[in-house]
Parts: sequence; structure tokens; C-alpha cells
Amino acid sequence: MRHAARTDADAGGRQYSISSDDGAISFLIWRGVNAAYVERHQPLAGIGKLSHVMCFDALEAFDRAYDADQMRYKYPLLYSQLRRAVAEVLQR
Amino acid sequence: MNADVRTSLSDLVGNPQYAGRVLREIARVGAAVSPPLVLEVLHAAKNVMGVEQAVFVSYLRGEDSHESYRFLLAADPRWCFEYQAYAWYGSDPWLLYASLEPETICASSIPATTRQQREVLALAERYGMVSVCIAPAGTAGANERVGMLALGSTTRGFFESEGFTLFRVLARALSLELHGWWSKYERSELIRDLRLSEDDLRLLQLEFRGAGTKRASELLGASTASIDSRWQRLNRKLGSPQRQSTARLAAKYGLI
Repeated sequence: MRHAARTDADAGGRQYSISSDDGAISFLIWRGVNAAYVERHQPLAGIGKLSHVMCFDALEAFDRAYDADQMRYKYPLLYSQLRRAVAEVLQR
Repeated sequence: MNADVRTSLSDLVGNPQYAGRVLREIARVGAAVSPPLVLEVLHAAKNVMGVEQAVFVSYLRGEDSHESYRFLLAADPRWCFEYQAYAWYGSDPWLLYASLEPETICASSIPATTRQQREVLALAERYGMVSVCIAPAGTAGANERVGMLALGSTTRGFFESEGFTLFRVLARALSLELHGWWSKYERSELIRDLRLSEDDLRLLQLEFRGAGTKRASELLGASTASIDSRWQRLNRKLGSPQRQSTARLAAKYGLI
């Protein structure tokens, strides 16, 4: 199973839209006031959905949090794209 | 101005301006147009309320299909990653409580009777939810979506103290506003993602209310063959085998 990532910048007014090619996981990254907002979506059975929205005011906070997420090991390219997008949003 | 999170709950709610400040933040929920903007409001509200952690979950529980869990996290994100790694939704005593009961209470009143339930609570405590207020938000009618707001403090006994009587009213108001927002957002998101038209929604509603194909075709001005064809598409879109269960699913998700 390929776990590559697609990145669409400035999709629909958001900063970034990132998803894995297998459709198992996707992210929307938004710029907020002094923070990057990360919205994560995973489809569940049927029309169900698992999502969470969290925010990070620094890249260090993002790195600390994502140390606990298995996604960075299962989808390393996607994680790399996500981190880069968060870093760019925080720099703006 | 943020409330000092070390102040006791009694001192916080005793401030004559406290309730007004909190309510002004709660009122901002309705104006949010996206989940990140709602999260901004949740962050602001928890700061004004004087709590350190806030998690809102909008969820639909089901029997292995069509479940949905939407988290807003103004709390330690590591909690969320570990929680989701174990997929502890079915073992979470707080979610179970919020599914069954409407009252806003201290989480310490909710028993953990299984090992997994105790592990769920231990994880929350490890990430700063030592004293917790649980504010459920239900929905009337066939919509089975439930909301749960968990407000946490690292101070043991913070909520189990004087001041909780007023605080719980404000927590409930925030939970209800968040729940109302998510219900509307989820509905519009589903309609967009499944590309449901107004006629689709009317057909689902007619079926849910017991109208058969002939009646639906009269009311919608369409042939019965067209109605049958529309049902095939709707069943496929909602992942349901036949029209009755499709209509019930649409009601469960608040689409009709």
C-alpha cells in the first residue's frame, strides 16, 4: 500500500490540504492567530468519520505532540509534508 | 483577561463579572464558520472559565458501522493520539455517561467499573485532567448525535468544591452551543460530501415518515421509476442496503 502524500496549497481558503494516496488519512492546515490549526480526518465504516482539530503555537509543540502519534511512522512522507506545512504556516 | 488557573473555583465564580465574561465567549460559538474557528472560541472560553483543559466530542455511536467521533481539542494533544491509538471510544465511561444522562457533573461521580474504563481515566489524568467536569449535550428527535464537553484542571478537587453549582450551568451552556454548532456543521458537510440534493432530502424524509413510492412520486412530481432510481443512488451513497434503513440512517445523522 502506497503511503505517499498529496499537497494542495490554499485549497478552498485553507492554507494546506494534505492526504495519503490510500485515502486513509487527510489533513487540513489552517493559519490562525499566532497558531497553526491542524484538522485531521479518517473515514470510519459506512459514512462514519473520525476527526480532530488541534492547534500549535510553535513547531516545538507540534513535534512534541506528534512524537505520540503512530501516523508519523505509518505514513512518514505524509508526516513530513504535514510538518513542513505547519512550519510554513507558523512562519507567516 | 484570562482567569488565573490557580484560583479556586469558588473565587472564580464569586467574581461578579465572571459569568458575563464566560457567556460572552460562549455566544461567539454561533458565529464561527469552521472547526478551527470554533476551537479558537473553545480556547478563549476555557481561559476565561479558569480551566486548563477542554475537550469537546461530538459523536454518534453505532453497532460497528456508521460511527462518528469529532474532537475539538483545547488540551494536551498527546492525550488524543494515545486515546485514538487504542480506539477507546467504546470503553470511555465519560462518553457512555453523556450518551445516557443529561446532567452536568463532576467526573469523579462517574464510576469506572472495568479495567479498560480505569485505563481511559488514568490516561486523561496523566495528561492534566485530574479534576474534570463533564457536560453532556443531547439532541431531540431521531438525531442520535451526542455532545460531551470535558473541562479539566490539574488541581485535585477543583470542581468538587463550592462554586460548582454556578460553574456547571455555564459549562452546560458551552456544551449545548458547541453541540448545536457541530450538528449543523456535520449535516452540511455530509450533504456536501454525499452530494445530496433537496429532492434527495425530501425523499428521505418522506420515507422516514412512512410515505411509500407512489405517495413520494406524487409529492415530488416524479415517476415511480425515477423514485426507484433515486433510491438506488441514495442507498449506495449512504452505504445502506434498502430505503427504510437508509432513511433511518439519514435521521440518525440529522440529515432529515
